[in-house]
Amino acid sequence: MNADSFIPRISFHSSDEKNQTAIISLESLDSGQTIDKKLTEYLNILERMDGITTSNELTQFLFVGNAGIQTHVSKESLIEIFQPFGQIIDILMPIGRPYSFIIYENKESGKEAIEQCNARSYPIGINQSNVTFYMAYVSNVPSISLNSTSYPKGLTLIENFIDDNEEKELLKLIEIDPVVQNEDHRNNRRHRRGIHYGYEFRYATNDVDTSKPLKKTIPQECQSVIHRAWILGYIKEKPDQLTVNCYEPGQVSDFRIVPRNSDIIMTDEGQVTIVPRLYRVSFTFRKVSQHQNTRQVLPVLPKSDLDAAQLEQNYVHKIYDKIADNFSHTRHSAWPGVVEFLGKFTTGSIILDVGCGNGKYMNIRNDLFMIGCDRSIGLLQICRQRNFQVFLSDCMNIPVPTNFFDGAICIAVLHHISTPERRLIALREIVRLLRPGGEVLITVWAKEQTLEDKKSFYIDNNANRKNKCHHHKTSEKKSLVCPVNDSLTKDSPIETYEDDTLSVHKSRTEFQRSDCLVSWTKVKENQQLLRYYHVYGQGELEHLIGHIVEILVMMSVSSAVAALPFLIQKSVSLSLYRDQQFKGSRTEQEKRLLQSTTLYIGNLSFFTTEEQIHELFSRAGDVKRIIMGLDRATKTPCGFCFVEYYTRKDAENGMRYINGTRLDDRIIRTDWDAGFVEGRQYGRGRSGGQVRDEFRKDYDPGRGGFGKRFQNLPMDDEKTGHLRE
Amino acid sequence: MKLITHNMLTSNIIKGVKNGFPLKINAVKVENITVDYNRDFITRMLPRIEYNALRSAVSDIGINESLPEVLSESLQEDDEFLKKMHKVLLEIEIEEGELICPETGRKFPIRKGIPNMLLSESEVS
Repeated sequence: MNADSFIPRISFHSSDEKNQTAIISLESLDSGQTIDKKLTEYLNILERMDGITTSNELTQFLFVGNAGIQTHVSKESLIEIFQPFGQIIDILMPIGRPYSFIIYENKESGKEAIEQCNARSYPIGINQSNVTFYMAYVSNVPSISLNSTSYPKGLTLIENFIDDNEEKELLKLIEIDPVVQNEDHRNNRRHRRGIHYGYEFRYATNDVDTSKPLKKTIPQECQSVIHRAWILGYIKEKPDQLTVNCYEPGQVSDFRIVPRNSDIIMTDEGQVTIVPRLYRVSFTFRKVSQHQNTRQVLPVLPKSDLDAAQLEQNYVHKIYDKIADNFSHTRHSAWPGVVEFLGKFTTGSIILDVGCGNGKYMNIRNDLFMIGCDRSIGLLQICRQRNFQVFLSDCMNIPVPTNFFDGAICIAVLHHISTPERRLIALREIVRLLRPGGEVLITVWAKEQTLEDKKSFYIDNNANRKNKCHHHKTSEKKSLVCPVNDSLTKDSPIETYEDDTLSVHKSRTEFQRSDCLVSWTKVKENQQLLRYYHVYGQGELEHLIGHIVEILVMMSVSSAVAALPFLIQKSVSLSLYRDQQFKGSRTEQEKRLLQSTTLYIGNLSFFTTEEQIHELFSRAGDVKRIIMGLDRATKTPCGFCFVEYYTRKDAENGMRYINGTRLDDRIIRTDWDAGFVEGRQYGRGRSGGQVRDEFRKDYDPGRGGFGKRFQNLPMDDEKTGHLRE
Repeated sequence: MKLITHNMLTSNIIKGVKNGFPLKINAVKVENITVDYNRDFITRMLPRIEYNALRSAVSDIGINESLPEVLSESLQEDDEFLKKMHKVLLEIEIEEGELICPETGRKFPIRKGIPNMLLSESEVS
């Protein structure tokens, strides 16, 4: 428990006004606003995961957010807390959810429970850490778990499996074994005493070390029970590991109470809680699976594109398909940064979620049109069940139009791509599909998990919500200038290693290398599945993005969270016009145009003043200077100018909002200019004005009447006045 | 897959394909679902829709819905038309079938409402 995070305070709980009792309790200092926010958060999860909504009327179903198996709250503690308000019919703790349901016999009980317990903290988490509840009435409860006597799939309860004599024999085991007495402290896990036979069972990793068998094998006293279970077909293999646990009255275990002398067989995934009352002893027999012994051959860093595709196929795509359901259960809390980003768009905006996973961001706003794509069909099927629009594709070839989407998100996707070239292809692909001015939010896992001496959530187990908020506030926003570099590896912060074999990252520690394998434990098969990750070093994503010229704004929000968020806006696209007198290559010119802060303005009246232009273009941002286009001979305005802004962003706004608008009753035209150079202010026509005014045949009162040549009929035969614009 | 989604899919990722739009639809199983009507949403969606592609999609799946040949400005204010667009864009789900690239004939299967747009390494440019 992180003691600093809770401040002791005295609170008064009064049942009647005359009799006030002061209770010193450890409570978190939550304001009313955060309570509402947190409750809403949990209710959103409830709606997304189970499709249940709150009820405005009193119901007998009480929703308790933050009190679930997932938050390590036991059923026993819930009974202790909620029983005083009335008769409880059942307590439901759905697997994989951060909440529970209390079903009262009487509706009124729930009301009192909310009044007394909402937003209060109870020291009932791991190691008595504090847990705060957020409560509301709900219209119903998930139907699957309505029957309290039902056990998880794969769990069979066989009553009276052992007789009294066998019970005595088995209990003798723990009485005579001196190790149990001594190991009281060393071996206690949630205050229970355990003794291991065959192998020591490691609770932290949920496995055994097969290279270290114990001297004590399963005692003879147990053999008759094992034999009977085997004969009756409950188990297919004889166990080789046994853990005996003793629970003092009032202690908690992961198992629901099993009637005395009963055997519980678990063959499938399942996690339940118990209502313990008396001194109890449990015997857990396990069969150590042998294929754990064969050492897995780990892949190496890809050397070719084909290698990379194969690595991603085997260590990303296949794994996500395998863990889809399981993964989906753990991915329901939306990252606030993404929610904020999606909040910026106007109704009817079209957004693509690249790597949408289970679609947790696809119903943040229902007035946007969101399409998702992912490489895992397993995850997409979950999206379809939720009625989201999705298609199967990888992020390097997205089958959508160019310059189309108003926005995109790409959350925790690009760290699964295994070469810098492929990462850049994916980034380019995402920028391609955005419309000019469209924005994408990208997050990837950060390699550096410690920033300014503060550990991120990922490695700081004890971090609590309050610290998190703090980190967010102190996070620093940076604007970056795109470094333009032609080589992907030159000056890149990408690491190279001597040994190319990928290693398995130890969870909740700093990353040793950028490229690694992260394990996902599938409880059901007790199998570790490895996913490939490329965690991004400081500046690495910036470096990659620097290779894309069509980008306007890059923002990196560095904060002490495990992910690196990045915001990119696509530039206004270039017109077809290129200044023929530009000195330099065509590519150089385009690069300059894409970074320029100068606009060329055409179709001005000769009589429009610099002040008028300044007034109009200042609406888009701060204008640095205006250079009026002048007639070479007369030095009077000849219908064009250059407007230079301080920032690219303001210039983009000018391009976007002022192009095609009216000034002095003329539709003016704006275009990018590579930057003003001396001499450009003069007209390039033969008579000193603009070329187009030489050849114009109409009468234009705003531009000196008829065109110069038309005016001086007969037409000059010389063809030297070549059209340059 | 709804027709609004179809309207935003192309096969331009195939090597050598220029537009790859619109993808032809071969629908095997089509379902009708109900979606709340939001006039504002449809009005804002209209300018983003390739109307001709939508018309050909409607004829591909052979549903009995006649869309006017041209999307005139007056139609965009017409409530009856907007409701029809709502129905066509949002309430038809193609569950099983395939999408066909108009330039190469490459087929993309649709299973359980999910178009599979994956290409092999040799197909991408």
